[in-house]
Amino acid sequence: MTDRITGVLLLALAIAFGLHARSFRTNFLTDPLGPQAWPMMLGGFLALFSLYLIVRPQHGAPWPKRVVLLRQLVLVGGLVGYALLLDPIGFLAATVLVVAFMALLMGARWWQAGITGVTSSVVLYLLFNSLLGLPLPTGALFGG
Amino acid sequence: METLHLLGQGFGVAFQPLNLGLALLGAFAGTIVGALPGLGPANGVAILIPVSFTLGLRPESALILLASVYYGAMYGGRISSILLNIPGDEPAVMTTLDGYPMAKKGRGGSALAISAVASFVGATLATIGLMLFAPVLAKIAIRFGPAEYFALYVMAFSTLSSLTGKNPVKTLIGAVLGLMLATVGLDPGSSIPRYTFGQMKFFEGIDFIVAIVGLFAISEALVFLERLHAGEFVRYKVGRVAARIHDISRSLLSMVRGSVIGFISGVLPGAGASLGSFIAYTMEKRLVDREGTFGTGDPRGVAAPEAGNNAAAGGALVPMLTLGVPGSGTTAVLLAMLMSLNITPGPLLFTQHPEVVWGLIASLYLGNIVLLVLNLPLVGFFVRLLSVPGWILMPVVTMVGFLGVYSISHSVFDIFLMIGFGVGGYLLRKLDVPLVPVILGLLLGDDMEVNLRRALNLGNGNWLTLWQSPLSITLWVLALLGLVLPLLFLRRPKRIEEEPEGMTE
Repeated sequence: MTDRITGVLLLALAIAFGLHARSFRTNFLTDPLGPQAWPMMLGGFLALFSLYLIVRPQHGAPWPKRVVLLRQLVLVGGLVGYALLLDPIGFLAATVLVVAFMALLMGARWWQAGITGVTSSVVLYLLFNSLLGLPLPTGALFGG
Repeated sequence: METLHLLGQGFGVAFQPLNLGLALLGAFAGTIVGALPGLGPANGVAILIPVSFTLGLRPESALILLASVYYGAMYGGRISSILLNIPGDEPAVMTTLDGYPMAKKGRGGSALAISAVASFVGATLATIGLMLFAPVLAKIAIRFGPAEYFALYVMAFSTLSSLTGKNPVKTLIGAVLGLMLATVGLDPGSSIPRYTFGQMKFFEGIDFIVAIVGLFAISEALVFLERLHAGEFVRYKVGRVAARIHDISRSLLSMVRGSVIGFISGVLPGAGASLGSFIAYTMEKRLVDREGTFGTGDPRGVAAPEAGNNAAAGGALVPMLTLGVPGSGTTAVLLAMLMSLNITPGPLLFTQHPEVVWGLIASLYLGNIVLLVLNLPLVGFFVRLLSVPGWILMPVVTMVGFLGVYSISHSVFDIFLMIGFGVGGYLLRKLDVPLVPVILGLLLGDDMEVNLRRALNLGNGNWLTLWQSPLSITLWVLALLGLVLPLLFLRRPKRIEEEPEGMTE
């Protein structure tokens, strides 16, 4: 069933991709194919392969349980949050938070998560900022 | 003679203190990457690419560093296969078949020593093969025109589809998705934007490194959460790391045979190390297993596949350097790095940048010796790494990936894109769509389209021009054979199909 759904979604993608290619127009003739042909070919191939998936699906692998799925969503949310926080609160603080957060999510106790967060943040900062000379944001909060 | 002269120059490059240091560092870091469960070579090399950028390394130094990591990871991968029965990547699967039984009998140390020697034999023979074979192939490749290159890319995808993954159609889907991603950006022919949706950020196309780190490192963290829930934690015991001379001398021939097979399968675009170790093991079993000891802890059953997978790693460098077509996931990542440094691998690389090619080859010889030394007496250190808990490992690895991407562009947009690729990569892995073809498609897409258009331009729009030279006809026939033959002859054992990892190599 998963394969069928995937096939349908990919087919939709293939059609949209191919149709969108028609909007690539140039006023001058560059080469016999132009910018449209290759994307349309790719759309065609993807459509073909996705039809195969719809006709002969085989996938049966289990999807994660709801608990796991929730944790995965939380992890992605945490990473997005990290990207957003990086500039305002700076590398050190943001990294302590996100590493501790991930460690907790992956089964650490709270003090283990705290130590991992602080240690890895400081080590990575020293490694990248001081040793490799890559400037990392200090954060607007701290006058960076 | 010419080869020796060039190799001499290569050693000149390799012995520069910086490069020597990088080879040592890379070998060490690579063994760690390989030994840590869940971090395959492709993954490890991918997160280290940005680091080599921030160091501002010259192309040959960057390549030496990352290739040493690659070789090192191939050595390290065997440790968790033997001791925990958990292959770090797909090619290491075959090593579990006899390695783990040996460990259970308390001969884990012996298995580790034999596999270290086998890795050394395989990798060294492959480096010799690379040295002899690559320049020859480069001389042929110099006669390739656009039509031949287009046929070559088709061949790469067709062999890839038949040799990796469970379902050839899914591999092809991955390849097409990668090719589609490659069309994002300004059209190489007419410079009009395609699939950019008005985002200036997309005009230059999707950054390979953002895509690769996302697909590998971020998706790995998501997969880890899932495995954690299933509960996978084991204790282990090593024993003394020493092999009886008898065991080694008895398996020496197995190592040599495994190396030759591994090298050949490594050279085939897309075949890579998994096939190398698989054929090496099955052939060895057929050839020497008279008492039926294979699978119960026969040292030769450790030696052959381990030599095979290390030799394949060297073999995979051949098409990457001479044709610009990687033979495996990790060489795809290396290719991405070279392209980002404005070095285009291909036949001209050998004449225009001999220091890159020969410096690399010389470093690989040195790196192998270092790796052998690291992996015999120091193996205890790497074994201890197996007990590093995932909650330390995964967050730190993810952060290194983040930092790497951020260091290239300083753009939060790229980080979001990387997270997007991570989620996408996770979904593809769940759907059994392998990631290597996606990356290969993304890397080769531009060139594939440009060569197709150039070929048709030269042939005035006649499609027959694509198969008119003997060279291109040969490539098309090979592409067809690559698609059909394995379906007829090669039935993979059930074991491999049950493995969840189909992506790292």
